[in-house]
Parts: sequence; structure tokens; C-alpha cells
Amino acid sequence: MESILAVMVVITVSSVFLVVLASGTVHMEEMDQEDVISWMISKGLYLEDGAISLDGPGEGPILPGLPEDISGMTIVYRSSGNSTPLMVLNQGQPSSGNVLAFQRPLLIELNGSRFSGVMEVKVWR
Amino acid sequence: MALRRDRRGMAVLVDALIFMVVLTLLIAVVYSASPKKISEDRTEMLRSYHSVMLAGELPAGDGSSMSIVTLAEYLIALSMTGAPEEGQVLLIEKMVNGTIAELETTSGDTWLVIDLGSVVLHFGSHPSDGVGDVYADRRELGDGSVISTLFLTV
Repeated sequence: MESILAVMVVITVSSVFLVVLASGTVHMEEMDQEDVISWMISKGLYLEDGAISLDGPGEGPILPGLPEDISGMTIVYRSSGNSTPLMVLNQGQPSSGNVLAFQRPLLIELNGSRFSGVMEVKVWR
Repeated sequence: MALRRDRRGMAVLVDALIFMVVLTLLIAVVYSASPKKISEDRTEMLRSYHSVMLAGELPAGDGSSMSIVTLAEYLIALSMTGAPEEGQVLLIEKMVNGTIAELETTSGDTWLVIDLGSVVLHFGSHPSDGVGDVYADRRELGDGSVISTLFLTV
């Protein structure tokens, strides 16, 4: 009877612990991506409803530091369907481990015209 | 006798733990590859690319007599003037090709259907029948006279 109760307690505790652990692992990448996006919005590097202006040197966005717990970051702005970068922003140390990479569509303003573009982001700890 | 019972108890304990570990990992794997979540992500991605494409502005001096307008506004204006001319269709094609090419490269076969009322325009390549899941983002522009639908198949 005691051993059955002990097994039940262990099963309950370990299942709660492992489920929490597994959920955290599954959601880690998504959470990081959303954190990075929020940080970029707060720094004017990405706009969900608006255009990023790349009009001339000094007129485009700058990379003012890095998000918390991030040691390096690269952002590439380019027009949709064209791999040639219009602007590349780099900061931090070279990557030495896992890199979180994602891209988002956005409007780019260049020479007074707004067109569909893509922002490619790479971040690493 | 007591030692034997302890060993049996430990064996049950270890068995239970192994069972729980395997079950939890299985749940994690199934959850991480959840078709519903993948489908939602693709739908959201398609929606955002479609929004940005429609908000893009016509290149200056490229066929339109109007001042700066977005692709969505241009399509609404075209729907009021009847069937578009060849140059106007080429201008639309020029504006949507980048988005279609981008999605073709990163996600899968992509095509766009624009219903102007008087005519239906197709851009991108239709995949052959029976090729996996098809996602679509449909927009009614203006008073609904123009319908733009962006398709993606993976």
C-alpha cells in the first residue's frame, strides 16, 4: 500500500515537472522571436503598420544596442523577391552557437516610394 | 523478505518514471509539430505578406496618371473603369511579382488571383492538382468590387 502511494506521488510530481519542462522547451524559440520583434518595434527597427525609411546615409534605422541576453544581431532589409540587401545592420560578437533566424514582410520607403520588402533577422546569445 | 519487497517497490518506481518520461517526451513532440499551430502560422504569414503587398505604392511615372497610390487603391480605381489595358496589367504584375517570388522561395507554390469584377487576373504559377495543403488569404477591397486572394500550397 505504501509503495503504491509512493509511486502515485512520484508519478504526479514528475509528470507536472516534465510537462512544464517540455512546454518551456517547445515555446522557447517562439517566445524569443516575439521578444526580439517587440524590442525592434520599440527601437523603430520594425513597424507593423508603416514603412521603414531607408532614404540615404544616416536616414535609415540604426542598431542602438542589443536586447537583453542577446550577444549579437544582424538585420537585413531588402525588397521582396530580391536577395540584394538594401541595408545591413550588425552589432555584437560573432555567433558561436545556436542562431535564431526569421523574416518578416514590411513596407520599405526608398527615394520617396514605398514598396513591399522583407526584413531578415538573426540573433544569438 | 523486507529486502525483496523494497526491490520490488523500487522496480515499480523506476518503471513508472520511465513511463512518465517517455509519455511526456511524446506529448512534447506531438505538441511541437501540431498541425493546427503550423496552419495558423502559415495563414498569419500569408496574411502579413498580402497586407504589405497591397500597401505598396505604384512606382512614380509608371503608367498611372494618379498621384501616389497604393496597389489596393489602384485596383479599386481600375475596377471602376472596366477591363484594364495591357500596360496596367503589366504594372500590377510588376508590383506583385516580388511577393510571389519571395513566398515561392521560402514557403511553396504561390499564386495570386485578383477579381476586378469585369476581369479576373492571375499571377504566379498554379501548381498541378493534388499537391498538398492550400492556404489562402482573401481580401475584399473598397466596397467589395475587388477581391484579391493570395494562395500558397505546401
